[in-house]
Amino acid sequence: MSDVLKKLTASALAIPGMASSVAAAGPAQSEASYRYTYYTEDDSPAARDDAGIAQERYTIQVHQFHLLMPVKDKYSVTVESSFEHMAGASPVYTYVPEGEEEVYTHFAGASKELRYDLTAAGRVYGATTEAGAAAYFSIERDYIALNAGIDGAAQINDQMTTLSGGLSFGYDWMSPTTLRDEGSEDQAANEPGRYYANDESKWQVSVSEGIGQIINMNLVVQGNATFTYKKGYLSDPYRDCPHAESVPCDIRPSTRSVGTLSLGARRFLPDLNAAVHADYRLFLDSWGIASSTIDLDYYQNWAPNWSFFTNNGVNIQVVPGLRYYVQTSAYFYEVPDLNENDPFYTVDTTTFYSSDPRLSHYGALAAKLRVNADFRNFTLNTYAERYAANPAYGFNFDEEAPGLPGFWRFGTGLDYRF
Amino acid sequence: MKNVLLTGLIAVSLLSGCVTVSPWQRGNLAKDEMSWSADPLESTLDGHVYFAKEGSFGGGSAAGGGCGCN
Repeated sequence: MSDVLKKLTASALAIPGMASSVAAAGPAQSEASYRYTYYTEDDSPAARDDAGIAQERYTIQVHQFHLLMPVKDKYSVTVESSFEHMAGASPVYTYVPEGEEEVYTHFAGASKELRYDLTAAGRVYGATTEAGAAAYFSIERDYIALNAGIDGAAQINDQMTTLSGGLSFGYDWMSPTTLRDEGSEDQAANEPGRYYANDESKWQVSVSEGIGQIINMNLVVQGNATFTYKKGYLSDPYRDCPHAESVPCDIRPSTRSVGTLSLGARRFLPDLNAAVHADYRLFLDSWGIASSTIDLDYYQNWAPNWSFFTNNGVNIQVVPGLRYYVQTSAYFYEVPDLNENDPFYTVDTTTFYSSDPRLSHYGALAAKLRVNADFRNFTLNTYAERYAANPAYGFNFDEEAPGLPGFWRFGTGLDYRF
Repeated sequence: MKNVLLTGLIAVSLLSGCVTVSPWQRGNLAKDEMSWSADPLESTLDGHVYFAKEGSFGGGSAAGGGCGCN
């Protein structure tokens, strides 16, 4: 997902009252940025693979480009684009095979995919207000997504308080069977999910409201609530059960209502020349998933008193961070046990079911470390993250979900201000 | 209704308890590391990765565009 409005609202929910006068508060200079990210998932455990091998899961390389340009005093334009190259196997089914007692995962063969996206946004700034609009386009071999949104913010209460709101609309098309053979009984039997999902679509509308408040010279807080409604083909057409033919192995409701409540705080520590970020998100949806996400980051500024650093104005920032995520399972999540029924699914597809581990009850932990170095008009960024997901991390000690990912993420990039 | 009134009273009392910080006193608040999204590109990719690997998404703003990753 590329959050088209995240960029907009990041500035809409910017620290209120930053404008020290009634002049427009648009960006003072242009900025061009590039990021390269290497993402690699852990191999799946061979002992829980129904082919008996350790599958080489996804490796993804991401190139991101960002350009922010002020236009006169009251306007700005932002263009952002990314290009992804993905390769590897992905889990498409989780089940208990006949004669076994433990949960196994079935993987699709290794594939290679490309994805491109482009976001264009414009923003206008008043003395105590600002408004923006953005459009987003993403394309893959089998998927096209469009999104557009508007947002606005107003500072009140001596610019101590910022009120903000946003609205977005998105539409996605999918063609998971690119070489569809219309009427082919073999294709319908062997790839039922993909066959019947061809040319399906879905749409979503989302609204948000937020409030930011300066507490004192070193502390600012914000709260934000969103509501999102999705409708259309929301199943995963690539889920594939090897033991049943002609039956889609993932049937989800065609609507999904989602509410989120986000709370955040930013605290500057003058004695340490550091800042602490604390964020919490509560997520509730009509599929029965409730999740909590906690993010903690510590920004330590460091300007070594060495001649090279002082002569060149080099400043370093070290940013360790932790993220904890926990969710309950969707009400239609189930792991088929072929000891009970084989085939587990029949042509009666009137009920919802999915064994997608992302819909299970589990938790995830992530540790991050960023190091940023400012040098004149440039900032060099480096980034590393370790992520691991497991039912036990979510205090679920009764179930297994071997398809949940663990991954490493490494990134580097450069910002140039002009 | 009582809960709404109580929540409103608490919010008003909390806000009125805030010290007025003049614009020239906001130097620390204006630092890059105090922004809500310190690195927009990293935030974009974070949202993309977690959306693809978890059952939840969004928060903080209206939901953005999708992809075939979830």
